[in-house]
Amino acid sequence: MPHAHRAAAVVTLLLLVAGAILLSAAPRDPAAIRFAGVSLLWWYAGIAPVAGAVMTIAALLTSRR
Amino acid sequence: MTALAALTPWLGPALLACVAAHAFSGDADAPVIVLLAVAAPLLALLRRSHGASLDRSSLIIAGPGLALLLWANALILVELARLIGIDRAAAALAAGALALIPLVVGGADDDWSGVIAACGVAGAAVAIALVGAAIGLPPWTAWTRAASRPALVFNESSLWVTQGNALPRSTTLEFTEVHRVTAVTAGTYRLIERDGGALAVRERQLNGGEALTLRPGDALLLQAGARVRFETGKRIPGPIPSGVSWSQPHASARPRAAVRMVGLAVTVIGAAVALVAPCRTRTLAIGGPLAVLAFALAGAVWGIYAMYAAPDLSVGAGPLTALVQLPPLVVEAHWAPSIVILIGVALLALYTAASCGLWHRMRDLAIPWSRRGLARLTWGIAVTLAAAAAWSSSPDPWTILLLGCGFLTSTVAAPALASTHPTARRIGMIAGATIFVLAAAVLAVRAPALGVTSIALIAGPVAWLTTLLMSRRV
Repeated sequence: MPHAHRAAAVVTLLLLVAGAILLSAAPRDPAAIRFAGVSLLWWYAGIAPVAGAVMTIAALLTSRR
Repeated sequence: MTALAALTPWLGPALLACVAAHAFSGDADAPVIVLLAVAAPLLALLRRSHGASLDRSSLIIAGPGLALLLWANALILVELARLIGIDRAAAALAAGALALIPLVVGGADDDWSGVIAACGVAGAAVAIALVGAAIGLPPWTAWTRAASRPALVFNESSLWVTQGNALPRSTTLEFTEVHRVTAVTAGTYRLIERDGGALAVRERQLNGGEALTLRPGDALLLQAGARVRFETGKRIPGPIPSGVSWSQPHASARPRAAVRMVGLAVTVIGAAVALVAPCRTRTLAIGGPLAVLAFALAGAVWGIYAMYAAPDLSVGAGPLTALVQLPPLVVEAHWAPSIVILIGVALLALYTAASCGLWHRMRDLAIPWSRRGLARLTWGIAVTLAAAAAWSSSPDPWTILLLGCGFLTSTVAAPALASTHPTARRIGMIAGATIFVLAAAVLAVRAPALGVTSIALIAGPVAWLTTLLMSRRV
């Protein structure tokens, strides 16, 4: 199901974006909680794009020409 | 078309500089901007097809959006030229000439622009890696140390303390402690003094070497080019008093912040859908996503390193401050010019590739006209207008970038997502463009605090809904 991979990657990317918006706009400021000195939102901004890029590469490589 | 070539309109110098500038200034939206800079083009790349076919109105309605994006990128080139001492008019002329390159060589093979973009991204990534090596800290440690500073102060080696420095544009600096500012060049300095609740504006004529003392709450209006010196160990005047406030910026009211960020997401993702062609081939499928990832993360890391190593650069910072002015401060003197040249060449490569990508989109929009030379003529007009605008004014490139993105979201992406019917799409495009212009005018006058991102949040859904309703009627 080659198109399913693309759809899964699209949904993942949209969820990653929605997660960032929810995190930064959530009450009690969870985005400011620090792990190893760096705020949660910046960890998210560093790791989520990598996850998104990996998903996209996987989807593009497995999709039908 | 390879994934890299499809991404070229996205990988412009304006986006790289704006990501770096937002990370440097501690903007509350900076992490979301970094994520969107990666996620939005990847979403567009993953689409199965471009959607509906275009008609003649597409060129007329969507063309201004492409011209706005070209203007934003040209502004970065003009700023780069200013920093290295090149005349503004010459820089705008060069920006125009570079944007016309695809007309000369683009006919043979479109994919070469992807290679140029890859070189630009690699140049920016290598330059920041060299800066990171010179600093000797990974970006997360630099972030942690910058964020834990109780106050951002001028150190004894700061250019603002040793020789004095000049601001590129008129700036008002607010002071939170007693600070003695020395004029290096003679001129008239406007002092805004706070006396109880009242404000008093005084003008002081100072010769070179004369100083004036500012008290907490006072502000100093510095004209562009006025060279001044600050005191060692005193707080850096500006909106970021400490590392804590940089790392935890005071966000606006939560509902408004949420609306702003949703607007930002709609604006950026919609623009990516309008600009980036879907990837239908596996050729270089890895290169495209990796390039966009390196591009956005390099921008963010530039901003973080700049705040760690040289927070005094925030005084009157421009869009390229973090990118161009950081290396000479952290890298050994004989290496610094090479890194500045590398980042300059990378920005030029990104500009050229982005221009090619925008030209390809303009050419696609002109296809329904079936008139030889029309695409070239339209692109020539867009380039002329963008270069003239970059020469005659210097607005914030981020604002222009968002206006262009918002316009493309409202006129191209929203109608295309709603229906494939040409007539319905045309009406949706007209509705999107009209509402976008009206909303921009109303928000600029009545509610500027809502920001540019709110415009597409209004116009985009209207265009989508109009297209959907019209597709059911026609």
